[in-house]
Amino acid sequence: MLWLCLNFPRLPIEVFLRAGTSPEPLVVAGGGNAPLVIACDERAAAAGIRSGMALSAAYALSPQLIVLTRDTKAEQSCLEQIALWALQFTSQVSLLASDSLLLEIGASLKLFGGLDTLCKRINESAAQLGFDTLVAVAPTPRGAHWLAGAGFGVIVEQHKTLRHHLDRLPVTCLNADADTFKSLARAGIRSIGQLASLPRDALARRFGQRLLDQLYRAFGDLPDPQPAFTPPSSFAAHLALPSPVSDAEALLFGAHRLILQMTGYLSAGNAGVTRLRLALEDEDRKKTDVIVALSIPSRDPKHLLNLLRERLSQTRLPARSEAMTLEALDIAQLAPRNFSFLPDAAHVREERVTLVERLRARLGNDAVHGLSLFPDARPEFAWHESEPGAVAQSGPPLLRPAWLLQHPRRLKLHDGHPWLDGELRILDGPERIETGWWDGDDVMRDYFVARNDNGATFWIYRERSIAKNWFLHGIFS
Amino acid sequence: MSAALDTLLHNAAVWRGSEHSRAESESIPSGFDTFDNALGGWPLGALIELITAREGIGELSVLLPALARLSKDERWIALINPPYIPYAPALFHAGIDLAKIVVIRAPGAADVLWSMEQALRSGTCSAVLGWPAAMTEQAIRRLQLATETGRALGAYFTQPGATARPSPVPYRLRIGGSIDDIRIEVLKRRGGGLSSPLHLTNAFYRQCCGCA
Repeated sequence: MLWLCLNFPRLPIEVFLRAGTSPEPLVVAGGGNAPLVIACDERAAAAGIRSGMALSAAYALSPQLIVLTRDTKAEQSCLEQIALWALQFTSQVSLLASDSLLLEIGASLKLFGGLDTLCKRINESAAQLGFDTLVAVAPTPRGAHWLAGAGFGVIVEQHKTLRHHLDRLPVTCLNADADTFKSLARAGIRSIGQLASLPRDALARRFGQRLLDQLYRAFGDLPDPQPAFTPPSSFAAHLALPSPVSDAEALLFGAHRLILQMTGYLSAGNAGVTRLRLALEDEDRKKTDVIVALSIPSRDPKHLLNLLRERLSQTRLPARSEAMTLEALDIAQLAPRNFSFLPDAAHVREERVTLVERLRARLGNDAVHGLSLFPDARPEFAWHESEPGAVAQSGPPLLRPAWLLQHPRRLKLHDGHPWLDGELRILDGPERIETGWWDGDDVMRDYFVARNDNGATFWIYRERSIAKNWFLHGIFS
Repeated sequence: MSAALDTLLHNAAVWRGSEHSRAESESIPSGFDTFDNALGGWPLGALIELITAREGIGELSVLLPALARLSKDERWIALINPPYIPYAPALFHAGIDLAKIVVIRAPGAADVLWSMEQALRSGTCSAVLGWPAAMTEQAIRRLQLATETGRALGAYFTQPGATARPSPVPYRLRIGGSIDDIRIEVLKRRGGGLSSPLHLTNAFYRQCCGCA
């Protein structure tokens, strides 16, 4: 087994800043009566503010400082969201402490093409989500956690070399109380290596067996089972924006992060989404829903973002948004597909659906349709709008114009002859169509092919009722 | 003189502009011999402007054999803002697989251009025919780029009766005559226009229309 620990050193501030940047220097602070700076953004850092600094000192450096209170609850739920995303890399993900995830990657190496490729991919993918990460790999879960927590982004594959790396770590990696750390410091023990070189029974007597077990587990001498994170059966992720936003592109920036999170979750279950909702919350807590529906389940972040962009551009937002929630309303399994060198027919069919979806997202559902035949002799009923791609029936070969008028247009008469930009000469006909008496839309018509002096050819008919009016019904285009 | 010119023209080092278009770009047979001989078929990946003298002269029928051929492919044939209902029985009769047809009704002028660009660029359309209300030079450039990207048969019809105006479109054809004897003037193409118009006889309509 090989464990990868993903540490998020800037999580307290990233909880607030994932969806954009703040216009003024911003810090996250916490800690009772004398609050300390826990994390600061780039502007604050440029002003000389560092984490660990007293908040009053930070104010002195930058008077227009924005101070946010640390939100550990948001951090925890954020970590759970990242755990969902991480499920695409391995089936075993555990949450550790408040700022780390543990991934068992021994079984994933082959699929992702080796350790280096996998680590690179995890790092890049986390950056797209909007998080700084520190990755450490070790054969034991605690070893990986210690390395990442102490800021050592190293990859240790072998048990043999693990000791060497762990020995350099400070004892503060250990999970112990303040008194223990004090007495360790008094005894001059600063590193794990120093601690581990002491006689074990004496260590147990002085600091307790629990501390010793931590060492054993880190070195791999004791089993260290990790509780696996079980994903919920549905997906919903929330994102608070650093400042209220009305611009669609700025909203999409945040939505993109949530979509990546969702697609990570979906790929863990080899599923795709068929309906998703982006709920935008404005300053008065009123919600505006943007719903995207797909005909084929998808987890392609680019496609989903495109659809969302089109939908968003059609939605009128009443006020500026403060927060957004992305929810997967309907999730469906994706059919497994083999990769092929040449683009196959099934692939093209899948691809072409995305075009229809994109067009519909902007123009509306009814604006895009296919054509099919319908067995009815009345010309206006001989075709139907259908879902694009629906299999067509066949029909009898008849002379028909390529354009049909939605509503037949009454033709003027000159000396009893039908007239359209000149006198119409009959070329062909009549074709008598007399049917439909059963549904009230009955027709009694004689159809002709006629041409005017300009050479334009039309499909016209004369009503066989008493009026005997002439109508234009089609154009031979 | 003429013999000297002949030898000169048969020299392999001489490059003739009129052969340029056929050698370089992909195309699809139009189903009309005269057209294929002159232009090598409908070009793929190059935007085509079709100017129609008036409605009802077979302006769409010149494209139908090519569309029938393209509909064997899995990709869409997109009809964007056609002026009337594209009549399914006629398209079916022309040999087009209706399952490949997508009709798009875009509400605004900008939506028409956007839809055409999306369809052309996507690579999932074998042919994209548009009926925009008007074209700007900038729109033509965008659509030309999209056509090159998607390698589709991309064409748009101008309003009936419109006159040819200079624009960056690589192909400009004017359609006249009548459906059983269509006259096509090649106003512009890669490698220079054609001096004399092409006559396409549409045997099917000629027979049906019962005219000579």
